[in-house]
Amino acid sequence: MIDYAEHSDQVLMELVKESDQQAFTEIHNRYSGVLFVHAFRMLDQEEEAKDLVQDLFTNLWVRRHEISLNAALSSYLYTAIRNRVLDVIARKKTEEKYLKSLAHFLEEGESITDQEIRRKELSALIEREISLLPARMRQIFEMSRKKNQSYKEIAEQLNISDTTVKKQVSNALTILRKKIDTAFTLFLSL
Amino acid sequence: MQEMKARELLRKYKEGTLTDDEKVLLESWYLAYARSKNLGAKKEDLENYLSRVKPPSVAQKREINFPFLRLAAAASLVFILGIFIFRWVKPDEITTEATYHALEDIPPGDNRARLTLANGSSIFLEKASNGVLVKEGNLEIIKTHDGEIVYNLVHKNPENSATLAYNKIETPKAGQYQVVLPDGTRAWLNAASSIRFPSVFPKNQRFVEITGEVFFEVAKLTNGKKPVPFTVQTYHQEIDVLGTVFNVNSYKDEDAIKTTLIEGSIQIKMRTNPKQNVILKPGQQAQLITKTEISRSEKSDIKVLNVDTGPATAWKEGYFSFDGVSLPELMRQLARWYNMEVIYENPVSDFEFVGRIERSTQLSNVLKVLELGGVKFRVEKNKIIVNG
Repeated sequence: MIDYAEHSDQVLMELVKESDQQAFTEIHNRYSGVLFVHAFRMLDQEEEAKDLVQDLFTNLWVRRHEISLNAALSSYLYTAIRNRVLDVIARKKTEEKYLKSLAHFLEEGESITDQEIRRKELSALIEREISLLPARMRQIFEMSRKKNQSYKEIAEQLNISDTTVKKQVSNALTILRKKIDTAFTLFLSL
Repeated sequence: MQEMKARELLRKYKEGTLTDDEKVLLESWYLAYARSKNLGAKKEDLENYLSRVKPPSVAQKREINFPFLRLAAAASLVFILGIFIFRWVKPDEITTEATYHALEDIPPGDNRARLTLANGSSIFLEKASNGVLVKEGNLEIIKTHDGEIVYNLVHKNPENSATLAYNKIETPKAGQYQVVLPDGTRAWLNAASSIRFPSVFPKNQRFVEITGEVFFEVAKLTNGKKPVPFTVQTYHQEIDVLGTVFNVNSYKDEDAIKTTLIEGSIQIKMRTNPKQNVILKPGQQAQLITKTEISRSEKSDIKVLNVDTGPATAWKEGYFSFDGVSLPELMRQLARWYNMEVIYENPVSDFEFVGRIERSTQLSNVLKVLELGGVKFRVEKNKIIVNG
């Protein structure tokens, strides 16, 4: 049995593109907690936050073939949840607290002009929510962070070239594919 | 004062018309708000909430289905020839199975829209009787028949007025409407769409803003000898034309803004980057991908494809026409025309639909046709639940 928790986000996403539902569930296990708490913090509505997260993941699955990530999966998910929260806020724009806060910000807040810094800040804000997660969920998330070091970092640590690591990842995928093929053959011969 | 600006920012976000600078502002505020906001729940409650955050029914499906079967299903495309089925088998002849009993009948959309005048007052056009609705100086707004209004200038060459009075026509979901603009240009609005335009165009330019899907027949107009350009703005893109026929589909829930040219020639440019532009020939379609969450904030290109223009403009002729569209895309069209919400119980299979169905068909009959292709539907109140 392959343990999906062993895979990096990147491998999981490749598998999701091949319609692997277990990989999809693993991504959900990793991220739904922090995404939910963040949406809940922003909206104060449990149901709404839950719907947003659910929606986001449905979308990820439905569009799995179209989505091409040019950044980390985490970045994609964080941007997606932010956009969805903003959609809700914009829809309820008459709600005092958002308007007041935004008006106040326009008055004296300071913009972060660098897109990369905004992205990092968003990640930091969302990932700080892990402190609020139940122990088991927190563990899953923290473990996954370790799996998610970039190829480059792993290569540096292991003192091997970047391409070798990429090869390892693609090998892992090939093995998985073979297992699926075997299962399929078995099914046909029944 | 700032509160008005705040409202404005949120409105523009909703419409997708924020400038880059405004986007920076809004995103920065978002971060500041997130930083300062207290969590409205105790930690103990959170655990309870989190236990209810489940992945969208994929895991559940796995237990019944073997993954390799799903892989095989994804690999094969299922074509449904809706046109043949629909023409050859009348819906009432299709045997009604037990599963259909739950289907309530939902009527199709019809002619309805709201006109908002420059002074802020508005008229529900489906409720107004035929004849002159508004007379203001040189301008008459006339409802000619059900589903159409005409802007008529009493004197053809009015003097330029200093300020432009903007009017707006909006269709709800399950609504459509036609308008003849003051320059003689015709616009057909599909469901959940809008057009905003000055009730009298300035002499040397014509400019409208739209959302949703609009089909245009732009009248040729000259000022002296110079042709007067006609510009259509949607979120993300701008279309410049002289006199042509084309369709713009810019629904925000679609993956791309699709502009399909039937006659003449048009230029399309991205609003954020006007240097990114293409010129279309008849029979071509420009696609500006807008959907993936990442590309919303980053630049993307305009693709040009040679297409059969039929499916893109069939809605105006009273048909849904599908030419290899995916189930979600098809369901989005139905959702808009029948004013329904679509819910997926399982991840969607890779169906492709080909065919043609009249838009005057009751929803239950449309779903029956689609069910022949192996998708199952349930209708509950205003929701279509897709299982399949």
